[in-house]
Amino acid sequence: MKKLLNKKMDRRKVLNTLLVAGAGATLAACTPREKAPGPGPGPDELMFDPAILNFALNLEYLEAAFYLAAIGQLDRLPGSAQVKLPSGFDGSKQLPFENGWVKAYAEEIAEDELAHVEFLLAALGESAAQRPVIDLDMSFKNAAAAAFGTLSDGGASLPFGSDDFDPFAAEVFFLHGAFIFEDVGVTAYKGAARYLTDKTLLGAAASILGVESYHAGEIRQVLYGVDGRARGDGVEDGLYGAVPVWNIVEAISDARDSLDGESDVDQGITLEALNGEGLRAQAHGGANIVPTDENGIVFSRTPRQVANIVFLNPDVTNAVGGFFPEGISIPAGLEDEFAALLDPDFPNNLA
Amino acid sequence: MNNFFETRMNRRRLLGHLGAVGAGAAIAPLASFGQAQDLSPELDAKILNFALNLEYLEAEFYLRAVYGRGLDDADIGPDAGEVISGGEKIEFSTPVMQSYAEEIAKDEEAHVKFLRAALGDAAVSRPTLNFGDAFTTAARASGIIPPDGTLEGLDPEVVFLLGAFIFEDVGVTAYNGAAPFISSGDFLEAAAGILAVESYHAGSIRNLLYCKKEEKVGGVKLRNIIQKVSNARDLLDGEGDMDQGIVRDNPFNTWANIVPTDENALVYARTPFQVLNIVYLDLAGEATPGGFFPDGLNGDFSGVPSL
Repeated sequence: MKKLLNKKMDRRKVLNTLLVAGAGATLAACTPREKAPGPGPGPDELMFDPAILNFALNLEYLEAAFYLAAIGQLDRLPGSAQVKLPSGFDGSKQLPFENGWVKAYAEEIAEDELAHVEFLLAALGESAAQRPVIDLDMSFKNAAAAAFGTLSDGGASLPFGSDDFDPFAAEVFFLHGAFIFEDVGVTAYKGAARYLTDKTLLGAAASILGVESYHAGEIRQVLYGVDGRARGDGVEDGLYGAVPVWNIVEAISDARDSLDGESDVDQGITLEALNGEGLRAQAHGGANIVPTDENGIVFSRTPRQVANIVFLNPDVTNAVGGFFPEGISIPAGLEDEFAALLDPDFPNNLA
Repeated sequence: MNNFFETRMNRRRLLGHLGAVGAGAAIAPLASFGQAQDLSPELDAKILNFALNLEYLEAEFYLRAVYGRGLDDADIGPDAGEVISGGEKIEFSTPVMQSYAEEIAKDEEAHVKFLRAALGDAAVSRPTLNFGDAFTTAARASGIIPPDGTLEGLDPEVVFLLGAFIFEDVGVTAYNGAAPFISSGDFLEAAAGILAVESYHAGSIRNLLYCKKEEKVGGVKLRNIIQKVSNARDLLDGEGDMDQGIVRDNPFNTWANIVPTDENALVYARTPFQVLNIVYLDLAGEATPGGFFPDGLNGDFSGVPSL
């Protein structure tokens, strides 16, 4: 696992590979043009398009369910499998938004994610995954308890225990819930793009990658603060006691990082945390809206890493849990492709 | 072997459905480029050099606005063109705005360094760039200011946001359009990663503009100015509607439109030719150098689809 991740994240390797390609281009000026395979696993050697898109479809079901429930329109989600919601909330009434513009954003993102589900369903046709059972109740509660349930600031611990986080109970909870998903979607699409053999599908996947990134930038910035001041100390919300909003973000980011293995491919929204200066309660400074490596490029995750985050379990053999209590939905006939895709050694297991 | 065969079958079915759906936008990038042909390392290098030209533009814009300096000499190549007019340091109204701008500037600078390193000796130098006149031209063409008007007197921070708005969405559509033509897996992954960063930036900038949308600039609401800029981009890139402002009005409500997408919620893809017409501000649609690149892009782009 570590070896694979290090290899994938190794900047020098990428640069060296790219340099070779650049040199090739220079050389090409004086040699006959020939088709040379790209470095790394050549796209033509693999055929995982349906599995990759179905894996993406599972993620889109999850995102669409979350946002549609938030705006009280869960009944529009295609499929019939259960969506588990916190007691007292059935996804037919919008959550209590405090700000009209946050509500407007939630509505737009819900429409986008629903459209992605419908697009992938149409593109995959008969080989499309059925809607999986989705848990938006205990998944969030457990994730919150693990990520920040014991955070405290100045001796004032959070006012809720492991059973209390409900992303539909308040606007700031909703924003933190959204934060859990968006960056993960970005890294998932980015990591998978190179393994799509069909160029039309690649174009579509790149387009969805773009949309998820707009969403992620938007959500991260709303959490940081858009009205000329940082949302900062969280006192205005009060729902996290004295713990700042951005500390919660950082805790979620750390949780994702520990779930997905030994690499560091996740970042919170402030420079202090990014630079390892620790969590401070007040007066944080620089923004980190885009999580990137030193080249200013967002990170990639393998399907296995993504799965471990949505299963809320770092065990690389598990296949169910977290947001997918009965597992992700795998269409008949694609079991072997999914097994290969979710192999912790992917893509090296293909050699 | 069975698995392989099964997958092939699935793929054909899948493609059949895609074709049946018409999945408009998904097909569009390839349709407008022509069929994918002759992907090669040489083409990869040309696509990355095309991107490098755009990154020079973005990096110089943000670095000058935020820090009052441009790229380091080490990052512009041996035959760098000059940067003409404009580009004064901006006093941002709040530390938060300053912070957002600093982050984007650093990202774009990193992209220049990354692409130059990746391309090695094949990297093109910075082309001649023009900000002042180009922004004025763009503002006049958009109808933000009168045909003989200037940007003087407008809030520099708003002008900065408008400039950022112009560049970010275009960067997204440019990378998106190019992605299917990259042969190297590593290049493709890097390009997808930059596409994502430009999209984070774009989402962030549109978000900031949305929160100011009812403020008036020169007597006109910002949301309407944004729509004019979007319309101008749409006019410049030729036929089709591939650009959107930050709101969608209906009879009862105003919807936020932070992400410009088609009906499948996919961001748009532009061909290199369409991108050139925007950054050259060429209303004739002939990709004649001008606008932000008075001498044109640097590099040989023969054989690049659409050019």
